[in-house]
Amino acid sequence: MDRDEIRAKVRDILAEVIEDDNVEIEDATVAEEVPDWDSINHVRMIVDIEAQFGIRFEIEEITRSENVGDLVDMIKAKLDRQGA
Amino acid sequence: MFDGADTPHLDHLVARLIERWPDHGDYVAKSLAGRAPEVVSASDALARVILLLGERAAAGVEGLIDDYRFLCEKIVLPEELHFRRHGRYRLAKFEDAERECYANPLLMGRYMNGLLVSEAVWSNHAHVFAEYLNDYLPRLASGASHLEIGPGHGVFLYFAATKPGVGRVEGWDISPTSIAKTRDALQALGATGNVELRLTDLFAAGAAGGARFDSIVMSEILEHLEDPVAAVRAACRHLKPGGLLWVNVPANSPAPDHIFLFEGLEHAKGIVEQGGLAIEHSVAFPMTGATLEKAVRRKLAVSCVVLGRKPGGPPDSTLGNH
Repeated sequence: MDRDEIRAKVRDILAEVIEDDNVEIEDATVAEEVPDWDSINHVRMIVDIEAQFGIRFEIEEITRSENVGDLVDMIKAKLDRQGA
Repeated sequence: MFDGADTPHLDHLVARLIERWPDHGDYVAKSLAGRAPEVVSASDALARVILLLGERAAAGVEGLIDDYRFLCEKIVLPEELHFRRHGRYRLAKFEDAERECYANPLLMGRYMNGLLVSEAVWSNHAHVFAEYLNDYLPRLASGASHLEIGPGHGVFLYFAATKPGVGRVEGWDISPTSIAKTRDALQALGATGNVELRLTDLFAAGAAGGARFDSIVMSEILEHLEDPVAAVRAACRHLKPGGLLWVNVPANSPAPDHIFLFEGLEHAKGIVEQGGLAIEHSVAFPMTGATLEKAVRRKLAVSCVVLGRKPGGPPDSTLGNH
């Protein structure tokens, strides 16, 4: 799965969590720019990402990502390790 | 800050919080938005007390704010992750919570300091406090005897003890650390005159003293117990007939020492009823940023306030109908 596909899936998960079908994100997007993307919704999104991608985050990783791009990179790295 | 309302203490606390933790500003703004004037007024009264306690603490107000941040990021967040993954709290046994939390004075100190600040900052906590101040305490008639079980940071007990006309006031806890914390807070606030703090196990207290209280408060206690119905029954034994029990429990609210999962207001009401009380009043307040409907649908944190009355009181009970 490439970065664009991962980002699109992350967008869909975020849209479902914050209940906003029109939300748009790019690599530079940070949570503070998106209404309702608060810490609890971030956790909910992470858990949905874990379920949909079949991966697992460490607690430290959840707060480590600075922006959407970081999160996408983290997901891709985990998927790549699984496929290796 | 609040449509012309005079809220100097809340303004000051919020300013210092955001100065110390700028990234929390949006959350705080969201939490403060839409609070009714009587809630804002209660939050301001609470902020005054928080600032007083902070100024007397070794690490100052900034220390309290740091502990609040620690609560949000290091205590609640990992538990929230577990709860969302598994749909249940991480611990279910009191002895495990005791080992991880209650036996750790450093953690408990920071935890209680963080909760103290959250009472004014988190929307559900602020609304619960306003409910206590504006709805519950006015129900206590002159001379009413009042007990808080597990007074923790001491702020709820302080406002009961300083209510004009209130009778004897007691605070019970099984933790020496918690009792010391409550005592320090009341001393710092100059409110020890009519308050007796006792190191007492609610269950072991049994019939000692009999039904002595017109009013008992259990705020954020029942979720820490394996059998909350037994705790309500035990508390009920200390209530006079017609006396009131004010319960505040968080539903779907993971924390390292929350072992009983309340699923919502109806669940909380059922526990109080099973404990032998008639429900007099109940209300639920959703977490910051969520409507009650959304919080229920998404299993987000909701604070549930349930007021029960012990049957058998005379029609002209010392506790008035509100």
